[in-house]
Order: sequence, then structure tokens, then C-alpha cells
Amino acid sequence: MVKTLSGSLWRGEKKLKFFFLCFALFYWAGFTTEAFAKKQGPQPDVKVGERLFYGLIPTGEGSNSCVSCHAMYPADSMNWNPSAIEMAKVAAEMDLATFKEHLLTPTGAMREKVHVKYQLDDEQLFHLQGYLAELADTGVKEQPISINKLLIFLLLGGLMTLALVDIFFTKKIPYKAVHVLIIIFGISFQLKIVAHEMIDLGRSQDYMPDQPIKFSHKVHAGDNKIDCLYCHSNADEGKSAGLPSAGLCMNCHQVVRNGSNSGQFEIAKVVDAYENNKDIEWVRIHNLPDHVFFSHAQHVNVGKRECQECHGEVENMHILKQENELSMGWCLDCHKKTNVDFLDNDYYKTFEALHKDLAEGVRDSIQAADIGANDCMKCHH
Amino acid sequence: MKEYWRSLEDLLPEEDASQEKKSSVVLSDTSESSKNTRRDFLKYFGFSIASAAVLAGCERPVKKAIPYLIQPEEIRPGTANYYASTFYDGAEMVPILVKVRDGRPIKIEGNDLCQMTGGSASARVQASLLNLYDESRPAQPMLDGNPIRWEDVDAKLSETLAAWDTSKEFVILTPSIISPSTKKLLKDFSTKYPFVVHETFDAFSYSALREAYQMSFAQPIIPAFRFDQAKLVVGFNADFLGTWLQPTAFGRQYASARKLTDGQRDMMRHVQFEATMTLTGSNADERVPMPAVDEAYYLAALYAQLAKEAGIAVTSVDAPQAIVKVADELADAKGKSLVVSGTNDSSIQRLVVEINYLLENIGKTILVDRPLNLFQGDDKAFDDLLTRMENGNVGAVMFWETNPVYQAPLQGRTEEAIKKVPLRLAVQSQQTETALLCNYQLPAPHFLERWDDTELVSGVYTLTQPAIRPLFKTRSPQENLMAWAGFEGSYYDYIKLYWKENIYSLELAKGKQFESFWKVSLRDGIVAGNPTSGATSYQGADISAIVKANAAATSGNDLELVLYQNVPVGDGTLANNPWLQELPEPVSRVCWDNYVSVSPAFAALRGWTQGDVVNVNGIELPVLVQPGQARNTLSVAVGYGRSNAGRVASDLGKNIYPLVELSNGHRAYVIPKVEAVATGSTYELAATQSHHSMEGRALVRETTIADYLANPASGNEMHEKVEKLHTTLYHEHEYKGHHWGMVIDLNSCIGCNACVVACSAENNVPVVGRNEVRRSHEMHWIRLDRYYAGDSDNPEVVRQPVMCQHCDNAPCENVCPVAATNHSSEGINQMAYNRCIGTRYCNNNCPYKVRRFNWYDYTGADTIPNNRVDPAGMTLDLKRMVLNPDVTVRAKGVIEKCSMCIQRIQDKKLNAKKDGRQLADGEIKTACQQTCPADAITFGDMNDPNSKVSKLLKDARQYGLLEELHTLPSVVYLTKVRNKDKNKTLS
Repeated sequence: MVKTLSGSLWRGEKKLKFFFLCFALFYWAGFTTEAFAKKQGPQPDVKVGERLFYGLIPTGEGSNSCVSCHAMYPADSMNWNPSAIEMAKVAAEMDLATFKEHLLTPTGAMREKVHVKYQLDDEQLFHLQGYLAELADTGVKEQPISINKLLIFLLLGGLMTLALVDIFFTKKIPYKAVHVLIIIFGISFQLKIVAHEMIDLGRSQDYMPDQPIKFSHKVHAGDNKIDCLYCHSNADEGKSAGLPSAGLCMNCHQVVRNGSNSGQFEIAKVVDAYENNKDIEWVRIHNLPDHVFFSHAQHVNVGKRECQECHGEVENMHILKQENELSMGWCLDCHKKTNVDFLDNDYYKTFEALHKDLAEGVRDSIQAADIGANDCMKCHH
Repeated sequence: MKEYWRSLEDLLPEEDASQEKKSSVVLSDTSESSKNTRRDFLKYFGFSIASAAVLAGCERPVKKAIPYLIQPEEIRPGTANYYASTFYDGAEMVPILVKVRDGRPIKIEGNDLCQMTGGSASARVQASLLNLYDESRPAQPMLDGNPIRWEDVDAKLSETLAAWDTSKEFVILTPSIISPSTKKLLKDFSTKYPFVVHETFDAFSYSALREAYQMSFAQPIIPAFRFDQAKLVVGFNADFLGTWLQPTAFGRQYASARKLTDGQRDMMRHVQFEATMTLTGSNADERVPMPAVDEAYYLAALYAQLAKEAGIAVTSVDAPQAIVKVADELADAKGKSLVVSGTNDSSIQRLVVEINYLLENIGKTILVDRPLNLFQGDDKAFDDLLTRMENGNVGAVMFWETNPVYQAPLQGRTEEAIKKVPLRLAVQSQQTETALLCNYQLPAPHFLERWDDTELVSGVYTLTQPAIRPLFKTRSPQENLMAWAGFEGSYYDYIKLYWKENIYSLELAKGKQFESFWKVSLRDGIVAGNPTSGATSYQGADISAIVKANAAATSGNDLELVLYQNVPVGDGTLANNPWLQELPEPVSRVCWDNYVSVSPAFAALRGWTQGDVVNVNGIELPVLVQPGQARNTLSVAVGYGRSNAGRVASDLGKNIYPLVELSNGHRAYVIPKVEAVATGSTYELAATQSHHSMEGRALVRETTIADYLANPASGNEMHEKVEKLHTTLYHEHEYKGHHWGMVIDLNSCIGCNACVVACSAENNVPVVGRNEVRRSHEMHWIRLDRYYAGDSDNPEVVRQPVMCQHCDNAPCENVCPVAATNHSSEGINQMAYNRCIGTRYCNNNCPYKVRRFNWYDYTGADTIPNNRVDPAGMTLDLKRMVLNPDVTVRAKGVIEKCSMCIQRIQDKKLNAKKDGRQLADGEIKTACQQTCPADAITFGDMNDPNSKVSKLLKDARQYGLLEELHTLPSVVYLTKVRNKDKNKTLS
């Protein structure tokens, strides 16, 4: 068995070599035609540029690789530096001299500190910019998928198959209880995964997408204590909370142009959008299905709920994330627990019988569900 | 209790025609999806499970949220704004409010500041919104079939005008212009270019009416009619509740004069003489079928009777019995009566004017000093224009929203005359037949995309303001003129200047600066000032010759043909509108087609049955047997058979306008002699008539005014008995806060169907198309059932709006296996679409048949393309812009029904909560109630003892539909009262 395995490996090696050969041939052919197609001037070596970007070729003593700050993919915690693709788009527009100036002698406190250690010659800069230009053109490759539940699911499947094979054919393990246990455990765990996946279908708890601007709610609502309603003023009056217009951002950023974390780069995007009539395409995080009609005004203005009750402690989030599952059960549970401002709001005078109950002490509070908050058509028109 | 019958098939049970028709419907012709088999279902089922599993591992599509760069002050996302504007389609003018959500007009409502309409709007006004999102609208300027830029149009036409041969006319053919600014602009334009001639063409002609007033009052006016001031209205072929002049305003006046609520005990009486069974005739207390050719004779007889009494010497006329009796009644109601005729014949109209003069109605129910500016067209002037065109005197003609080739073909003469004009321009917001003949196609904006103003009667001004930027490369006709004449500024500036110079100066402003006056006017949409026109007085006219000429009946055995406008489509201008085409005609309940109505007696004589195709003077039409039709009268609705109208209306029904001829200088819509022969083929009309039969139970309860005054509960005796029998095993619902209820006054409802379109617009009710209606799949949440009673030659008609009754003991709720339909804490029978699995148990168990099942995906809510049935383009992105974002768009396979406009209830409740106050009675208006010209629908809180609904519930006339079933409906009806003496009838 071992022999056959190594044999197949060896054959595989041979195949691999053949494949490489073909690939190299194709690559060379492609390269030459490309070279013929673009005759003018020397071409940057994108490969060298990429190695420089990833720090595989030294970029100066004690210097970090570019990618260590300008990350290719979004992470769970806020990376204040411009991402690789954003850098690439800016760099692609520059001529070499400007690029050199920006890279080696930058302005701005953060960049001055970090970039000072870079020692790159003109040729390297040329390759590096070439790589960035290509990156800007092709975009970031898809993020490699990390190991997830699917793998566990398949592993369990394999384990159970082995147990079944053993129980009927190979019979290596004498105690049948082991097989049974494996199968029972495997099936129940698999069922649990399936059930969770199904429940989560159409939900997006913990959704935390990358945004076009590294806007931090912590900086704005937490550190600088800006009221939620300053930006999301519609939450008090309308169905949707609304996003602040770029014009509103400019109320402060007319003056504040240098962020303590992000420097100038992120704020410059807002200014650019405002001044040049460009849309800012935020990624929507809190999504409800089309057949749900939720009103912020009902909850914020009338119900006097704190934003945090549904959205979590936004003032502590650098990257905004969907804190709660926003499922129907979650809504209904809250309606059952939440007291209505029954005595202060005159609207509720209509509920005479309930007022009587309160006065007579039959009950001490009225919950939202008691006055029909959980009726289907309150939310599903 | 009278015996009501729903259709002729009910009356003649031995002929089970409807059954046969139903089974003959070919089930496979609607779409490919009907070919789906069980195997397909399993495939989809398997696929959907697989895809769900795959989806579980995938990322959801990323949704973007893009804020404004600079937020406009008045726009709040998710909150609707209302802008005052004016509907005017060349026929009716109604001040409106346009509901705009996030930049899209999604609903039209009547402007409640207008006293004339009181915030109501007709079906066509409601539906006109959908024409905005019509994908077949002309989208960009064309010259001889090639796209051209507006700048080039302007350059070419300015050059043409500058180098004009002044011996030739440049004709601008418009519909009646009621805009004072446009009138001035036309004047300015023709001052700059003196060869410009402005002519008026009305799609449906009223020119004989103006001529009659010209003869008697020396001015060609159309006076203002006040049906609300009349105690007795006698109509002659005038469908004033459906289509004649100002149906919305007249409907409101009519209903207000007939109400028996709020202590009113006096009720206007209405007698109608007519050949076709119209909406108005079906509302009459007494209706007399009359051959249309005899109308002049009937009126001459009436005049003679009245004249004799007044001591005026006139040829004596042997009057029909009904006329003798009506003459007596009219003589008793001098100054409080009104006689109207809808026939475009000058003799008839002159008789009517004189009759009203004799009855001292001028100045009381007919206001000649405040004439209407509608229908200024003169058929004689149009005839003259055609002659000038034929003689080569016209060098250019500009069709400004006019379509004479379709509406007045005059045996092809119009088309031939137009072809003789070298330069032809079509300035149209919709596709027209006339535009096909034109060199220049200059698209005009929809009325919701442009500025304008109106002056319907002297001293009452309204503004039309855009509610959305133009969707296509369009420019209003006024802007065209301004560009070609080189006038400075935009048409908006022009209107504003006109208002500043003319209306502001009328001291309407009361010391305001002009800007603030303008802003207030724009906000209100309507400015009422003092009328400026001088008094018009009776000049006297001799009509003895007319009386003499019509002293005897002319009808014999000849077949006559009456062309009429029906309620949904009217003159055909707005025909390319799915909402209107899907709307059943109020009397026949047929939609998506026109047909030839014949009387039951005549049908029996010829052996015709409903659906037989007959050839009427070369036009083949299906037969509809119409009870109440005059015996030898055939009637066909105009407005159909458009050859170039766009996707929806083209080749729908048959065009009957080619039979219209000029008679005494007026377009005659009555053709005295026609031939009709059966072709042997049949055609199935899409009728909602024999659907949802309630099997002759006491649904509409009725009494007469005398009985009502003696005993308010008359006709409704059953209610008391039923109330005593109520026992139940179920627990009664407890309503701690609101308990919503609705009262429908059957005595007010005129059956105009405005509520049906309003409901469709508000609640995203799908359009299903002709084939689906044939299969009883229509989706309207509210319908107007119509029942006949008595003699089939002249039946009495009653009608009843029916929507979900929101029963407290709802039979539908008990049978839903998934609890998708249940009862709310406020008494509403709720429907959760996303929970419904489509068993249709509720539908089967509903005694009112008000639940609707989505057999297909009609509006594009479904993700499986094969589920779609879309006969009218309602799934196009452009038309979907009309959808109300506050109401779920239903997918295939779920039940839907009236929700009592729950989104409106929620909205108003939230407003009250935000203000910290109790809801006011009447604050919430359902869509049907809001648009109802007759105020027949009242909605409110039954738990509030002071609400209007609670008060109406104490009326002895109130009863529940099928109340004997103990469903405890929250919708309550009030008995219909007929102003008729059982012992002294006209016929």
C-alpha cells in the first residue's frame, strides 16, 4: 500500500514537471507577444514589484513590508492605513517622480515616521509602481477561504463512513459501541450544523463588511461624543435612520482634515466626494427583508429606545458590525419585555381598559405586546 | 323582498351558458408556465433545496446605501411628500395632490382644498399616474424617423418660421386650453409670427352645447351645473356621473343632494331617459329606455308641455306618458330642477336650454355667469380647418396633444387633409395615430413632469407643478414655442410672470409680497378669487321650428347606434393604461374590450347570445346583452381599437370613431341607421359579471323614500331578526384600544369605480390581463357588485362595493393551516404574505369571496422567471417605479386581500404618538374613502363613541353583509333609498 502511494506520488511529480514545462512555454509565448505588442519604453517587472510589495526583496533596513500596513484584505480589527487597492489606485495615477516623492519623502506625521526607513532605487520604484498599477487594474484576488464548518462537516462525514466500513467490512475495532458512538456523535453534530445554517439563512449577525471609507463610530460617537441623532437625524422622524449626507460630514471636516488614527487619507475621500460630486457607496449592514416594515421613529421617538439596544455599543466599534440577529423572534421577545410609556404619551389614552387596570393596580406596567405590537400587520403590510 | 338577478344567465336558468363558456377557456394559452408539470415542480423543489444549501455557504449580495451629497431640506428618506398639482387631460380637470416617495410619484389624490371636488378624484385621474411610467411614451425627438437633438429642432424650426411664406397658415391644433398662461403665450407667439393660427380640437365633442348657449345667451358658453342645488334632475342620454363634462364634481354634488345622513331627510330625485344603460342611468330613481333618435322628440314634447303651461304658443306635441308625468314634476320644482342632455346635437341642446329657462333654473342650478372653460372646440371650425388644409392654405400643422386622425377620422378626410400639409409636427406625451403622419415627433412630458396653470372657471386658478424630473428627452409644447420664438426664460418663469401681472394684482394676495403669494399658491395648488367675467343674460330664442320638426317620434324598426365614452377609457386618450383597461366597466363589468350592447328583446329576436360576433357597418364586435338597453339601440364605447397607442392599448377592442360623421356641423355620436349581422364566430369577453355569485341572498337592501321616512328601518327589517338570533361558541374578541370599522352608504355610492383604481395604486394590486380575467383571476381588492331587479327590458339596478369585511368571527382565520391570516388586536383580519403557503382554504371558506390568489407572478416579485404572467408590462423596471414602497409586492402562490390600508393606519397612528396626542376621528382615510366623490365610505374607530363611524352604526339603515352567518363583519352597509313612489311610476 505504501509502495503504491509513493508510486502515484512519483507519477504525480512527473505530471507536475510536464505541466510546469507547458506553463513556462505558454508564459514565455504570452510574454513575448505582449512585449511585441507594447514596443515603447522599458516595461516594469511586475513580479519584482510584487516581491518588493510583500517584502520578499529587502526594502531598507528595519523597514516593514508595504503589505504589512497596506493590507490586501480587510481584517476584524481596524487597519487605519489605506488598503493595498486604495494605494494602488492612487499610485497608478502618478508619474515616477511623484511616486518616489510620496513614497520616500512623504508628508504627514504617520507616514514620515514609517516611510523614513525605506531605501529603494529608481528601478525598484519603477517595478513597484508597475505592480501597483497592475493591481489597480485587475483588483484584489478573492480572499482565500479559511477552514470553516464545511470542513468539520465533511470530516465528520468521513469519520462516520470509516466507522460504517469498519463495522461491516474491516472490523478492526472490536467494540461496536465505539462505532455507534462515533455515528451518533457525528450525526447529531452534523444536524446541529445544518440547523444553525438554516436558521441563519437570510440573517447576518456579526456582519462586518469593509467600507469605502474607514469611518470609525468609536472615534465619532465614542471619543468625540457626537450624538447618534446628529448624523442619523431621520431616526427620530422617519422609518429609516438615514445616512448623513457628505455635506453634513463637511460641517466638521471643513476644519478637521487630519485624523488622529487615519491621517489625511480617509478624510480626503469625504472632501473629494463632496467637492467633486462623487457618491459614497457605503455597504449596508443592517438589512431587513422586503416584507418587513420597521420604523425607527416608532422605536426611537415614541418608544424612547436607546440606539444601542438594537445596534450594540456602536460607540465602541471602529468597524461597524451587526450586533444582534435581527430575527422576528428577537423582535417579538423584546416587545414582550418592553414597557410602554403609557402614562406620559396621550396617544395611549385610547386604551381605557388598560389605564383602569393600571389605576386599580391589577397590573403595574403595560408591555408593547399588550397593545398589539406583535400583530402580524404591524410590521408586515 | 325584491328578487335580484346578477345577469341574464341568472334570469334564464335553463340556458347554462356561463358554465359552458367557462369550460371552453383554453388553459394553456396564458403562458409557458402553465406547461409546468409535476416533474418540473420536483425539479424546482430539488433545485431550491440544493440552492438553499449552497446559499448557506455563500455570502449574501452586498447592498449599497448611498446618501445624498447635500441633503435637500424637505426630503426625508422613507417619508412621503405631497405636492399640489392639477390633472387635466383635455377633458376633465381635477386639482390633485401628488404623493412623492424618495423622488417618485407613487399616488395621486384629490386636493381637499378644492371645493368642487372636495379631495376626490375619478378613476381616470387616479390611473393617470401610470401613464407617467409608460414605456411606450415617445422618448426623444425624431425627424422623419431619425433621432434629432432638441438644439437642431430649434435651429431648423426657427429658420423655417423666419423664412415663412406668409400666405400660408401655421396651425397649432390644441385641446381646449384652460391655462391662462398658455393662452397668453399662444397670443404672444402669434403676435411674433402673425401667420400662426390657433385651433381647438376636443377628443370628444361638446360643440352643440356651446352653440345652444350662443343662440339663447349670445355667448358660446358651457355654464356651471349645480346638481346639489336641484331637487329633481332629469337626464337625457347624459352620463354626468361617468363621463359627461365634470363627472368627479357632478358625482360629488349628486351624492351630497341624495344623502340621508346627518339628519338630512330631503333627497333629490333623479329621472333618466336614455338609450344605453349608463352608469348615471343605473343610479336613477326611475329610468326610461328611450331610442336615441327620439331624444329630440321627447324633449320637444317636454318643452311643449312646459310651454303650454307657461302660456307660450307652440306646436302641440303628442307626448309620451313618461314625459307628461315628468313635465308635471318639473313644473312643481321650478328653480330647483335641472334638465341635462349629453347628445352633441344643436336642436337637442337648444331644447334643453329653453326647457331650463322655462323652469327658471338659470342662475340657480345652471350658472351662466361662471362658465366652464372646458371643451372650447367647435366642430364647424374644425371642418373649416380641414377645408383650408385640403385647399393648400395651411403650410404647417402642429398637433399639440391632439389626435384627430383617431378621434375624428371623418371617413379618412382628416388623414387626407393632413397629408396635404407640407410640415407636420406631433407634440405628444403619448403615442398617437396622428403622430405617424408627422415629420417631426417632439415628445412632450407627462403632466407630472411639467409646469402649467389652469383657470377652470373665471377666478379659480390652479397650478400644475412637476413632481419628478422628465424621465425622457421631452420638452413641453410651451417651451417649444418659447424656444422657436426666441422668448427669454423658461415656461416656469413665464407662468410666474403671468401670475405676478394678472393674478397677484387681483388683490388675491391681501398685502403679501409676490414671492410669498406665489409660494402659498404653489403649496395649496389652488387660488380662489373673484370671477372677472361679465354677466350673461338670456337673449330669447325662437325654437318653435325645432319643436315643429320634432313633433313626432322618428324611431321605427331601424337599428340605431349610439357611441359613448365608457367610464374606464373615456375618449381613448389615456387608453394605454393597464389600470384603466383592467377596470371593469361599471354596468357591464367587462374589461379589456369594447363590445356592442344590445337589448335582451332584440338579442332574442335575432337569436344572438353574449359573445356572438356581429358586424356593425363593417366593424366586427362581440355582443353584450344589456338589460335596460332601448330595444332597437346598439351601443359601442369609443376609445378602443387604437392602432398606435403603445404596448397595452394597441389593437385592443375595435375603433368605432370611423362611424362618426358631421351632422349639422357637429360630430354626431348617434347614428340613426346601421346594419348589424351575425358573423357566426364567437368571442369571449373578459367579464367579472358572473363571477363570485352570491346566489340571490339579501345583500343589497333597499327601500323607498316614503317608507324610509315612515320607518327608518324599512327594507332592513331582517337586521333586527338576525341580531336576536346571534349566539356563538367562540370567545368574543376584546379590543382594548382601537376597533377599526367601515360604513358604506349604499345610498351615496354611485358606482364610479374610482375606489378600485385608488386601491390598486395604493396597495400594489397586480394587473392580470384579459385572459386571466376570463379565468376569474382578477385581483382587485375592492369590487362593485351590480345587481338587476325586475323587468329585463327596464330593470332597476343596485350596486354594492365589497372588500374584505374584516369579520370578528372570520371564517377564513379558522381554516388557515399556517396561521397566515389571523385577527389583530385592532379588529383587522390580517394577512401575512410571507407566511402564506397558498392552500387557498381561506379563499374557499370566505362567504364574501374577497380573497385573491396570486396564480402567477404579475408584478415581478418572484425570482423564478417562469412564474411570470405580464400582459401589460407591469414587471418592467419603469412601471415598477409606481409601486408603493410601504406595501409588500406579492409573489406567486400567496393570498392577498383588503388590509383596510393598514400602512395608512400605522402612519397616522405614529404621527399621533410622535405628537403625544390621541388620534383624531377622520384622520385616517383609506385609499378608497379618500378618492370617493360621493363620500360613500366612512372609516374610523368603532371603540370611540364620538367617531363618525360609531354614529352611523346607530343608523337604523345599517346591516352587515350576510349577517345571518354571524361573521360579525367590521364593514357595515346602509340601506339604499330610492326616491320613487311605488304607486305612481313613470312608465
